[in-house]
Amino acid sequence: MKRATLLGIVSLLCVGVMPVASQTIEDRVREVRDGFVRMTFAARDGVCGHGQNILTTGHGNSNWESDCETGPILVSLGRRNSETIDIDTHVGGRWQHRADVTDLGVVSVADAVRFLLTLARTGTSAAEDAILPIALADSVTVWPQLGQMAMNQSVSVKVRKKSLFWMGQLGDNNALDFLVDFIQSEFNNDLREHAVFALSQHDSDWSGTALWNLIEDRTEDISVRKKAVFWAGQRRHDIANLIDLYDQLESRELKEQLIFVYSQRRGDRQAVDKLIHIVREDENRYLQRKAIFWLGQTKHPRAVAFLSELIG
Amino acid sequence: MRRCSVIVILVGLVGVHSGGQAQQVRRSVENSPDGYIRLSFAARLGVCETGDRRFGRQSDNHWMSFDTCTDGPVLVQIQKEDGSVVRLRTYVGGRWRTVDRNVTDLGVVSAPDAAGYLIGLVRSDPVAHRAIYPATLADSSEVWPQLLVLARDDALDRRTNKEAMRWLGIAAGRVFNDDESQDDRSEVRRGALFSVSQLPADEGIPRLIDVFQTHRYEYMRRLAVFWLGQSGDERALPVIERVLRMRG
Repeated sequence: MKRATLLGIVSLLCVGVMPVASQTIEDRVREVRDGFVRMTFAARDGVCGHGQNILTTGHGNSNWESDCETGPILVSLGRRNSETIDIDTHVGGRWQHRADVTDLGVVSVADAVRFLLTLARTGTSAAEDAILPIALADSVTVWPQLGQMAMNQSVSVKVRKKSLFWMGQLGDNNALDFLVDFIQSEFNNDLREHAVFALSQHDSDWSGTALWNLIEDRTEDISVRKKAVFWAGQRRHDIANLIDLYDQLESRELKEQLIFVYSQRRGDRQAVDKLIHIVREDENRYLQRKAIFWLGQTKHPRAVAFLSELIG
Repeated sequence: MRRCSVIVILVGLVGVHSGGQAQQVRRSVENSPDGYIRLSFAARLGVCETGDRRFGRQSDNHWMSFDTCTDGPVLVQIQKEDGSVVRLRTYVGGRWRTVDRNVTDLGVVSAPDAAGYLIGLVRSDPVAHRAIYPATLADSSEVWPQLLVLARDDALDRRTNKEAMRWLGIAAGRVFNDDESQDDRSEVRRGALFSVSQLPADEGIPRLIDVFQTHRYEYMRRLAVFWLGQSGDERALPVIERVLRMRG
């Protein structure tokens, strides 16, 4: 029921942004049997390109500005035997002259997004590469389309994963809400875990809370909760909270994941002390062994001293 | 305990024939045409094939194993191409399969002769490091003096030095008694020692040497020397050598 409702919302939102005159790009691309088709359209705020890299946020502060060049988005489609076989996306810079290129010039963002969405659904080798330029496009709310793509079982898992990833990158709270709903309603665990990853990549308190809720949700699948524990650790979630969490968890698997998380805070004395505490106090010998192993991996002086003590 | 019994090596050693008899095995291999050359020899006591593929694949085109742990012999298959040894495989127990490919079967050779030949083979790339292992399985053979030389030989590639050292560590560990059953904290100690063995060498090696030299339990000293051998660290070599020479 929840899944149906979510899909309904996404579908409604999609209708609003679909432009009417989107056939043009598709028709013109179809005319090219072999070669390249180029198009250019506006990038959303915060998107810039630096060589082969594309950044979506954080390319400057009050003191410094990167060389990252802001928009537009340059998309090149490789065509062979009337099929689009690859998609290259750049931000900034300029095209080099080539003879085998059909340049569509600057196209409307809505047309470009609609065309690329169609391409993403085709199941071709280029499909997953269509998601990036969609996610970078200006003036279009793309999360509903990406959400629809993520739920579409007829497109490849790679495309669905890319869609989920970019939803986490959009900085749109609605997209994050969608990811949480997706995790609760999707049947494919691999995709659900990927949605947890996407959620974790959004640098906000909201996504941190969402991860924490997943960890504490005892009705949730262990594999999803483990991912949430892992990514909470990677996000540098407050170590004191993570330490308190250990005794609240009921599952050995989750505790094991948490032991790993502690071990990754290598310079953190609290984390090392927690591992030592687990070795000393936890009655579960399996977890004791894990803590001993990961203590060694921290290479922290306190850990090394404790290992010597254990050896006796 | 099963693991220990499987890796039981280097007990009751007599010596390796690096001279005439080993030369005979070498000549037989050299005179064999390109293809597969098979030889077998007696395995030392306790060496067996467990069926868990520790000593080779359960079954392939050449060899078949049994479900239960089967005592030797050691079966070695050498592959020659253009007159050079290019591949070497070792099995324990089971029997050779009959295959259509070009096979020369040298039959059963004496274990010390085989060990001597294999140790000599260590210096020929690219199979070098793979020849150490079957040499350590040979019955009535003392290979550690040669392994010490191989471990220290800068002309050999580092992988071969390390492989020699690995087996030296195992050989040295056999000196110690198994008193693990007297220690109710053995699991924790073992885990901690393993973690120490994974530390950066400058931190881990001195600690392993200390455990090896001072620990009250012999099984811990055995484990320490095992991990020292696995480390491939040059500081471990004099320690291992001392143990082996004390044993004589």
